[in-house]
Amino acid sequence: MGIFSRRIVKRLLEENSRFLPNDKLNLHVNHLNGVSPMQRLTTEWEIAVLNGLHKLGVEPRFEPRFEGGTSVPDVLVSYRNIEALIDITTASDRGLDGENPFRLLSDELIRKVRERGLDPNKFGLRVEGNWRQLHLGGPKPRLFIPQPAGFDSAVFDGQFVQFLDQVAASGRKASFRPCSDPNAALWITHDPAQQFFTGSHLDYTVTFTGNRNPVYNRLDAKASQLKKAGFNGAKGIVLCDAGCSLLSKNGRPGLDLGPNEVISGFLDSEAQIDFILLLRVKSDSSGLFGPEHLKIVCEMFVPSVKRYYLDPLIDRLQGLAQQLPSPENTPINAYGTEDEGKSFSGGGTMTGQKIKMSARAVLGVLSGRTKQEDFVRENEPFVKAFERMVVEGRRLADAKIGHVPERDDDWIEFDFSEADPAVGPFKRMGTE
Amino acid sequence: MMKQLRGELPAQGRMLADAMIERVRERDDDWIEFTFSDVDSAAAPFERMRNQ
Repeated sequence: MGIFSRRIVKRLLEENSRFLPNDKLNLHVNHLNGVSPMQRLTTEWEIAVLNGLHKLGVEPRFEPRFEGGTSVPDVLVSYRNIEALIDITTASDRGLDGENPFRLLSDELIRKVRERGLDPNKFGLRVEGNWRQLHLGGPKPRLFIPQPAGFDSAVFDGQFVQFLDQVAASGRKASFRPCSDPNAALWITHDPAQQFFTGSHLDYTVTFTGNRNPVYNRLDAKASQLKKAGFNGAKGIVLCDAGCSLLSKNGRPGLDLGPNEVISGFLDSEAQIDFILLLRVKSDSSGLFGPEHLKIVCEMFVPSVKRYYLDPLIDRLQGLAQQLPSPENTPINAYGTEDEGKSFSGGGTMTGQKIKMSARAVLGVLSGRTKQEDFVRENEPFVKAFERMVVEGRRLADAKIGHVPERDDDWIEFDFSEADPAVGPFKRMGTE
Repeated sequence: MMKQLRGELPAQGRMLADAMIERVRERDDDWIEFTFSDVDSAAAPFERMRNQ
């Protein structure tokens, strides 16, 4: 899965093939087909932004080279004789997740519990962090958790095995605190009344320092590259959200920082960067997913002293979000490792004698790629509706595919007949 | 036929493009006919591109 549906990405690639060179196009294709979810996400954004700039009418020149330059930025744009050199980048929590491998430890705990024949839903994991030391301008939040190479020695040691034995024997409420590693502060709990696995930890993505966070790091890296391009005009960065928590929350005044403070602070400290255009996926807060509930929003950051001479170009670039397609997922949900389009499985409608459901799900079960029990679980109301049609002695009267060109599934609609003697009892007859 | 539905066509990255019921009036079953799409990027790796 990605931010955009695969059919949209394909359309963008085709449109981009009119103005991008083959090597760039195929680098994009290779990254999209690659195994790294992060690289796929970054490439999707780059494809979409290059496409949007082309439609925006800012005369983009891709990968321009300048005399004396030692780096090649993404694009040079021009509008009403104002030029700006732009690099596209993404920010994510990947580095922070690596420093604080809570998810990996949870996965490993669940695996070990399941291996012992116990129900992981009855277990919980709580990891402490350095919350007492945190303040604006202070250290980064950090969990007291070992790195994955140390999980076995620091957490899943002999005492952990004894803890599981005790739980298996008694089935009662119990907790375990590993003590092999003095830098680890975590608790594993068992509660037979619990319905789901629970995990809790300090939010290590909260930002307390302007220049030690994923957004600043990416901007700083891109600024260094832009400065080496040998271009003396305006320079800007398009920053896209690839699953960075900092970009989706506001700072609490006096307590921590939000994207506005970090980006404005970066521009204040970096005179050679003239503007930053932030692109994020915003949800309508309905709690529902899909393109109708998500949109891309754009925020421009430009110091007021520079706005005066860059104004027409800045105004134009602010329209970039309108040139981008609707997203299919939020970046955080786009991180799945599976490289498949999103199915409508479980969705659809049942009205009268019609059943409309995911064509992909139907194909999955007919092809044997989806286990029948998985199909039934995900599509239970439809399976029951089919059953009702069969019990009522109806047969399939019509079937059609409703193609959805900008998403990665289609609808299949089944229309059932009136009761048919081929599959039901004969009805009583009267003389006509 | 079933072999195609069970593996080859979905494995090639094809999706259902059309479906229709062929009524057989004097017998007790009908046929359902599926037509598959060309390789669809929704279900297949992206293909190499050429500048147009």
